[in-house]
Amino acid sequence: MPAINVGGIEIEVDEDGFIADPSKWNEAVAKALAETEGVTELTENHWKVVNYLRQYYQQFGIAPMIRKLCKETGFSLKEIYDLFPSGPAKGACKIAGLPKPTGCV
Amino acid sequence: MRKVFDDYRVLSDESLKPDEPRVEKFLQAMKKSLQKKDNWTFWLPYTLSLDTCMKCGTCAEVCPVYLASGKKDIYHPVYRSDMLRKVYKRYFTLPGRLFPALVGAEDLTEEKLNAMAENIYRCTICRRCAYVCPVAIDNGVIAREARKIFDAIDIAPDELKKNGTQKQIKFGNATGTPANAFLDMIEFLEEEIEDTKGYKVKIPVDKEGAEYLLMHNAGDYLAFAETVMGAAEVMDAAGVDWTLNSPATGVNDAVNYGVFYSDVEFTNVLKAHVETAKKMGIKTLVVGECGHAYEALKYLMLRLIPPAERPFEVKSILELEDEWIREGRIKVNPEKNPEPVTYHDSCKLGRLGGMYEEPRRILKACCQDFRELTPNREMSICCGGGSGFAIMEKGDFRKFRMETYGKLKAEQLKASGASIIALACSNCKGQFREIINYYRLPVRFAGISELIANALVR
Repeated sequence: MPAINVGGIEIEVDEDGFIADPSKWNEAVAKALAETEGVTELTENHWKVVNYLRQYYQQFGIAPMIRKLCKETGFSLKEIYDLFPSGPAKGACKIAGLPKPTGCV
Repeated sequence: MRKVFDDYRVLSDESLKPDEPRVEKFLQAMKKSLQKKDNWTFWLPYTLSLDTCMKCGTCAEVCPVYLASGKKDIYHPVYRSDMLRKVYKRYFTLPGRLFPALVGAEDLTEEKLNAMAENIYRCTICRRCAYVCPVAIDNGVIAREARKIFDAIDIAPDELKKNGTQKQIKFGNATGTPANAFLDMIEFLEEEIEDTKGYKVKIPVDKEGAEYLLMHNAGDYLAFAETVMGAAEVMDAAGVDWTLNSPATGVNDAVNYGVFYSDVEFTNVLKAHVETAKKMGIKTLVVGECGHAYEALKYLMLRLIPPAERPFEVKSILELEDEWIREGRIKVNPEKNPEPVTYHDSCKLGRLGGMYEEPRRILKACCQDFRELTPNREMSICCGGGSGFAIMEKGDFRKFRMETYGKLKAEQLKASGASIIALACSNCKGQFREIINYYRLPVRFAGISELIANALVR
């Protein structure tokens, strides 16, 4: 299984670059995952999205509806794409350490 | 991942196992696919298509992948079909066994098998080629049968199998949405309708014995909520006895990715659909805006489940919406959708399902400026999201989708001058979301139900 290096520690990721074990996630891992997505700096706005995704995931075990993510963070979908170029499901969820969303999303 | 066919890979090394011997197993599975008793779906068109190709090349002239690639040989529809056809001739016909070189028969090798496994996932099975073939060869059926053979030896894309059909059977939907999350979504959608439209709509869930059970593609809740909201508004405005269902009742996701690659997986999911509908005692199962789910439940089900075991009707939500607008059960005002709107025919609803007029009548009633894409209907160009492509993006596969089907579609869309592209299928929505982004088009996509809801006069 491929891995990313976070401060000398190898964190396993799946073939799509999503974290293999979500419990290994921390802020340093988020930064390393962000780099794989071409996001070089995690700003306050990035964290707002990441934190909401994590909170929802911990409560319900899946990613929230995109519409709900926009509403709760106050960002339009376009703004989310500006923050996470591969979009909410593939970009933001990856950095937030969620498993890759499945089904027709 | 190493190169096995072109610059892309849909199948991971873990699923393709490119260094293991698989030829023998493949030939055994293929033998089974050629026996009528073991292949209930499309045995006749499949075997006829293997036997009879005149190599006239008409199919290639309409194939979006071949044309957009600059007519690369490897993307020619006959090149793809011949990968399987050569094996068929070599191992399953007498002349091919005796004089292979004379009849275009070739030994199957592990390398050829790798290339074939990938190439059958360069075609969305849009079947535009089948529509123009002078002798009715169906390259789409051949690609699907090849996918079935590969699945029988356990080679299938994770998105369709591990995270698709198998997840759906386990969780009731391929998104893995549990019942409590589903109910949270519904509550949110009710609030959203009230916030944006200013009126309350009650969204019934798990109501047994309802006249209509509306089953969406579960991905719509997460990614295309406007379609789900629009459908709820339409159902409410029509004043009918309807319900959605949560995963607590069984399957609450209309998708059946088995349609794309496996009869075995298809059957498992379909039976779960039928069980859920029976258990809920509903009268009509309404398929939401999803192309392949319509094929599965409206057509393929007839071949598999005897009438007595499916005591309910199946309708597309488009059929109902069209009916209700025409009979005046719901009132719409096209001035509420003043922007230029065009419609993209989903391959499964259109070319396969023959549903061309319903969406057009709906859109003409609900939008002030409806315009066609050219070409359309039978000759519609697949968006490139079909047969599960919309959710496949390992490596650089999204680029393949954008630079082939996506490129043609973007040109077509620009030429129409429309600012809204109306879509009736979830895979199309996923693909157009990427096309609009990739080509920076000044266009947005919308579900049919969303546009009707915008036009509703209440």
